[in-house]
Amino acid sequence: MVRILLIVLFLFSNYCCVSAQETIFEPGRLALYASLFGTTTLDDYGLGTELGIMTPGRSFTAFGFFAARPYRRVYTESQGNNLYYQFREERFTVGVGGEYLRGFGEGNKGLFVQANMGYTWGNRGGVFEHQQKGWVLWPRAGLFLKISRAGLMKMGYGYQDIKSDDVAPHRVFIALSGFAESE
Amino acid sequence: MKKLLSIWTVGVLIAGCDCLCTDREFGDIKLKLTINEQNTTVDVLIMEGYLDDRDTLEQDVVAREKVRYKEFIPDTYYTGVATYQKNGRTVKVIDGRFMDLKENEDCDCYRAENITLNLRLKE
Repeated sequence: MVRILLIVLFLFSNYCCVSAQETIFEPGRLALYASLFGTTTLDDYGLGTELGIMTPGRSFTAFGFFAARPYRRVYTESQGNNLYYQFREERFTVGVGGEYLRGFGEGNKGLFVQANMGYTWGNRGGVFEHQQKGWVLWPRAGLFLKISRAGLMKMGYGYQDIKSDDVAPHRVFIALSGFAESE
Repeated sequence: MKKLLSIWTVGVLIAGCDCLCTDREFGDIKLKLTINEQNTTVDVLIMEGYLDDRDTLEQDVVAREKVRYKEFIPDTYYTGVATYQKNGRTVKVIDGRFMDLKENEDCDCYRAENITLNLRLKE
C-alpha cells in the first residue's frame, strides 16, 4: 500500500506544476452527480455508491454515500483455552463526503481529493451485537481520467478504517462517476 | 376438454387471480459444513435466537457437507454452531439468519422462507 501511495505522489509531483486549469469539464449549471466505486485490500473488498451535486465550475462535489461488503467476511477470535470462534460478518457504512477535481492543464487527466465522514457497523451472523462500529473518516486521493463529456474514471489511494483490527485500512480505490445537468 | 378450459378461464377472469398458492407454515434450515481428515463428523447445534440465548432446538452429529433440518417456525432468528478440530485447536463456527415469513398479497397466503447457514471452517 505504501508503494501505491508513492506512485500517486510521484504522478502528482510530475503533473502538479503544469499550468493546471481549474477543471477539464466544461462549466455549466449545478449538476446531479452519481458514482459507483470499489475499494480493495489484499484480504477484503467493498463496493459503494455516491449521489450528490456538482458545482457549476465542475471542481467541487458534495455527496452522500453508501458502502457495503458484497460478501460476508470470516473473522476468527480467540476465546481462550485453545477455543476459537469463527464468525461471518456483513459490513455497511453510510455518510457524506466532498470531492475536489483539478485538471492537469490540457488533456483528459487530473487529480482528485476526497474527504468522507460516515458511520460504519457490522452484523455478525448469530451474534446480536458486537463492538466493531463507530464514526469513521475516509480520506482519498488519486488520479482521474475524463472518459466522456460528463464521465470520469478515478483510481487512487484511500484510507478506509472499518473499525476492524483484522483488516488493513489502506486500500486501492476505483470509481466510475458521472454528472448530468437538469434540462 | 374445451368446456373445462372455458370454465377455468372464466373462473380466473372472475376471481382475478390464477395462482395456486398454499400456506407454508414452516421453513427448512440448511447447514453447509466442512468434512475433512480431522473432522470426519461434526457436532452441530441449531438454536433459536442468538448465540448468547443458548436456546438449543437441535443437536446432531453430521458426516455430510450439506444437511437439511425441517419444520422451523418462521419470523424467528436462528443460529447454527458447528464444532471442529483444527491443528489441536477447537473452532466453533457460528452463523445466524432470520427466517422470514413472506406474504403473497395477490394470493393471500404466507410462505415460510428456507434459510442456509454457512458453518464451513475457513481453511
